[in-house]
Amino acid sequence: MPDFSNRLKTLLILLLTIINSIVFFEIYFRLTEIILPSFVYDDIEIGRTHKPNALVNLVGAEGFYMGKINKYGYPGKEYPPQKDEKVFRIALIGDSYVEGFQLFERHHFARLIENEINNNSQRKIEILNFGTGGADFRGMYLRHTKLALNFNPDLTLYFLKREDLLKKDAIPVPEPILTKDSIFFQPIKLNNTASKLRETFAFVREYSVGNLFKEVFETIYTGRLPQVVFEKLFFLVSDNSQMVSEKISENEDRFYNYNLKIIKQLAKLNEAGYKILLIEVEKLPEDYISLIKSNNIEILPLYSELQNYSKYELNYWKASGKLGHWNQKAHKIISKYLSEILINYNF
Amino acid sequence: MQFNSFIFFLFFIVATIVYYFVSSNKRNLALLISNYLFYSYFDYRFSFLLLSLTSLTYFIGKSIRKSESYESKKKIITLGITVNILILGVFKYLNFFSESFVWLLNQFGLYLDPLTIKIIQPLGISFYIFQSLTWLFDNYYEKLDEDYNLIEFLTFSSFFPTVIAGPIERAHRLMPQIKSNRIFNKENLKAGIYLIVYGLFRKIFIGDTIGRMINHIFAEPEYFTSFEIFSAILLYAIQIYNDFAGYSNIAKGVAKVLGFDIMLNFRQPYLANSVTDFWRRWHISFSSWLRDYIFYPLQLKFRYYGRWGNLIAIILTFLICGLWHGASLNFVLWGFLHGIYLSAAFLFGNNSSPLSNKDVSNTNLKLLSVIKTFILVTVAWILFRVENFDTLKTLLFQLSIFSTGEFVERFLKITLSYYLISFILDYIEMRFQTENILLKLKPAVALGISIVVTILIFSYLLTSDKAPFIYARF
Amino acid sequence: MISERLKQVILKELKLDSFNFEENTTADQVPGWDSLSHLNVILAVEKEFNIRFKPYELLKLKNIGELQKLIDEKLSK
Repeated sequence: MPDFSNRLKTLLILLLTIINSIVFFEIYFRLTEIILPSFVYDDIEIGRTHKPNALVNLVGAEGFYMGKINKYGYPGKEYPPQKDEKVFRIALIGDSYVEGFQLFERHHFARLIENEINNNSQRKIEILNFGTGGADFRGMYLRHTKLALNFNPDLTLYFLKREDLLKKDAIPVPEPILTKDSIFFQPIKLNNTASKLRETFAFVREYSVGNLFKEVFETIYTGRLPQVVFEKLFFLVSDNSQMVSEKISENEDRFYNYNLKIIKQLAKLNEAGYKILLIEVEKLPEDYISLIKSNNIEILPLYSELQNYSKYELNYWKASGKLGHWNQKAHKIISKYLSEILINYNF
Repeated sequence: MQFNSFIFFLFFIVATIVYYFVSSNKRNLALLISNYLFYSYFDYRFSFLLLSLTSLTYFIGKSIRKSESYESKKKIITLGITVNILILGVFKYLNFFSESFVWLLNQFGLYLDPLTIKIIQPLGISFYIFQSLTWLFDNYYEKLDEDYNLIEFLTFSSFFPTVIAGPIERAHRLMPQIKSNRIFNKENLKAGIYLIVYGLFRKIFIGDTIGRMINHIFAEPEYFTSFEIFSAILLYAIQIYNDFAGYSNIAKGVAKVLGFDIMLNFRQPYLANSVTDFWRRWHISFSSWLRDYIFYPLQLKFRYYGRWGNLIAIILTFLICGLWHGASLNFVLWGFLHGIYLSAAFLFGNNSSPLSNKDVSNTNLKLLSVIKTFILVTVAWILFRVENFDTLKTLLFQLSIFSTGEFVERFLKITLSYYLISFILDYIEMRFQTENILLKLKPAVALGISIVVTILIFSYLLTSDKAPFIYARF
Repeated sequence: MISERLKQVILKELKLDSFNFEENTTADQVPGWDSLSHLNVILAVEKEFNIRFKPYELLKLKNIGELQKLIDEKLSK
């Protein structure tokens, strides 16, 4: 049956070509850094966490970041857990604004502050950046206690925005359990379908092509597909979904309770000598402010400094003409503001 | 509707089905309606301009054809060109000229407020006006054998595969195809789809992805090191080529599915061995337009000035070439620089000057002249790319300090990879003597590659912000 | 039919030894006849036959056969 064997041969060639093409693209994507293997993974105790030694190259509507997650699992300049006695160590905790994956590390306020203080005073400081995109207050607390504390920081800076006090759904985070006067976190459960799926296919993120497919899956999963496909004609196929209200209302009482417990835990750390400074990136609700103050945690109103500048100065990205995260100028302004405070800080 | 969008592919599939479904005498009408739907998607108001201007041009062309004497033909074509260029000027260049004029007055101590008239530029205007002008020229030089009706001309002047960014077709090439009966043909469909897939790869996975990165470097060079800026300059040459050649492939492929053969727009331009040769391979539909309708007439007009005749024609042609790309000084300077390159090649054509365009047979020398040409062209691209002179100054300053930064190896890796892929594709095109390289492979291999490329491209489009096509703004 | 005289002028101007000119040969098929040398070819033809072309007449030409026809017309006047 020559016809049958010919067809089989064609099919074989087709399959081989497909496999070869995928291998080609895997190599091509890595070489050109169009898409790299994922630089995060979902740790069952911490939630979304940077993957040690992963390369990062992020370009898009905002800025351009090229860098690497260091071998200790946080982005940028590498400091080992052991610390020199004479050195004052600062840990940064926050979300994507602190993570700063929109500009090169040399323009990040962490490096600018370090340079400013180390060059212009007798002091020697080290700044470790534990900011993570998408982290909420819970996620920050987990990063702080499960990761940052291993590096013996003398001071920990929490950068908080209003929305951080709510739960951000995008990222899997260990669920909190409240006890009478404390809070615990249950490791991410692996027994529901979504988590199982995530766990089963975790390996695809180790590949560029797999990471691309994972992104497609998330676009579909989060319901953004029609909008991407139909663009301007989107209104024809769907009602405009209502903007999610940012109000901290009764619905968020639960989070208030969680946040309250986290603040109490932070107060304990603060007392034990792991100094904590809360930085208001945006003005926080009054009840939070009084709560934080009553727990003897210091607050710095960074927003009052940022208010002196327009959004076009702080958040404008020239290449795309869009507003987004802090740009180089904003980082410079923040570094100036914080350097002045830190240089006089009672170390 | 960008070619690299889902909405375009939905439109294209529906338009193609309707196009082949209607009876053959209504096919042009179906195409005309698709053209206007496509064009109106960007901004429906501009389609009125397109419709009225090209209708007027049609009747002017008809009366050129009808007139008996050379003198009256000349009068009518002058009118037709003037109208079209005036419209182009109003929409595209008024800002530039008023600003430059004010600047000039300021130099002499006269101060005026810039009369900047903010008019949004209708998309593709430079392309469709140049394409409809060929209708006037082809009637004037009697290149058209048949008579064409208004529907046929409007279909030609708004032809959706090429209306936004070319290739700029000629009336005497495309209009006979519009007149002829086109029936559905499996071979055309296959050839068209393969060319679209190939074009999408070049446009998206080389052009767009480079652009996403280096746009930030060109926008704010003050934040980047000499080495990073140098890489960006090298990458820009690859970006603009693959973006534009990929786009042309898609346009040709789309036209092919509809049964049309559109002219070749790029023929491995970076393998050119002189700048003159480069212009025979780069944006051919436009460079040959300039040659036929601007350079030749100028050259013949000035022919009794000897060498100066050619020189004047070269410089003027390239100033127009620069100006066509945009209403700003950097494009004019870019054109002027190419004018200088070509003039020098013409003047020193017979000796071994680096600008000479003499063909060399020795392989080493050939390689050297290809590299030399590439460097000259890439240096000129800097002028083409920068948005203003402040940025250019910053960029040159940053380049001059010889800083390296912490990512030398990664930038090197990225740059070399893009050069390699672009060169390999060019090499295959050259060997196969065609840009539709998938068509030359074993069917199963071509199919396998197409499946993977298509899936990856659509995945990428789903997950990233698209980059608009560079040339569409001209 | 392309006259021997026209062939010789073109060959001499383009420094070619020989080339097989047909009625429908176009300029870009002839080695060395590019947009720049075009001018010299035209000037040489004008000199050889002692005639003058109008730009319009030249721009209308599609091939060498038409150039021959144009020359013949000019000479017969």
